[in-house]
Amino acid sequence: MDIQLKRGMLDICVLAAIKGEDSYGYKIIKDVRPYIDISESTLYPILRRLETAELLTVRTAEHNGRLRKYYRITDAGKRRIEAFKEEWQELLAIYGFISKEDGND
Amino acid sequence: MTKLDFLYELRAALSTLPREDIERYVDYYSEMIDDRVDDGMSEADAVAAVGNVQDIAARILGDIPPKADAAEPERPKGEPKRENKLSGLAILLIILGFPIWFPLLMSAFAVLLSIIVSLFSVIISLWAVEVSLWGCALGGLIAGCAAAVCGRLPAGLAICGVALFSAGLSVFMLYACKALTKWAVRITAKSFLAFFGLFKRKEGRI
Repeated sequence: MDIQLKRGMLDICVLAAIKGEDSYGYKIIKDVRPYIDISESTLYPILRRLETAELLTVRTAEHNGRLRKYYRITDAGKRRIEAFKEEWQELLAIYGFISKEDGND
Repeated sequence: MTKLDFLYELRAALSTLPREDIERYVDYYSEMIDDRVDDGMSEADAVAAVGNVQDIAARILGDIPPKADAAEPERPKGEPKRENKLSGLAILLIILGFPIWFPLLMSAFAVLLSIIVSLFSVIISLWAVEVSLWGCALGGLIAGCAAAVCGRLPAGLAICGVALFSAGLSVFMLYACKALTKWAVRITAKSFLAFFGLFKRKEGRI
């Protein structure tokens, strides 16, 4: 997939992975990986970016005698997902247009 | 590789970043390895699955805005030839200006080198003091004991006291010397990197 396209998709996928309940780094990777390639080093900057944009919040909690960071989606984050779904309609229209061009050739 | 080795290497590879950022990355990768182990992997497999330290560090440093040599690996992918399209006038100026900028560059390097040499000579003399304190402690102890055995008890005890004082002082000095040496080495490495980073960018512009 194109890098720019993938970058935008990854942000939304990570938000979607924490949409239902708070999640942590490794679980986010496991949840997202079946759909789009993601690694630890890819996830870190995404989490930081989303945190800076206030689309998610971070809290630290104890787990098995160590600390683990949990990520929670904010209302702005939820709105971002909804906005993406709306953009999707435009993307579908563009896809239709591209495919039609293809057909004419 | 164990988790501790991995985190130690990561910390070393990221040493040019602010301490707060380093801790953040180390915590993040430590959590990732622990979670994989919780998931049933062995520690070695978990570390291997997270990836190679050098690749991770290169990626992290590549994400940071250009700072000395950090941005180097990213450049070839972007627009490699852009900087080569310099106007003829600029190239001419650089060539004609050589007698001016080259001596300036060399003298800057010489100043840097002399600062570093004087810094290290101070450190070497501190180490010499440290060594002589130890010598004083050992010699004093032997001499003091010998004097005490030979019947001069008060003098012997006094010498032993001085020897113990030197030993105590040298222990403190050891910590100070170690810290100073470490700091000086780091400063030297940083300033050399910065200097050659500057030089590299200049070369790139030609």
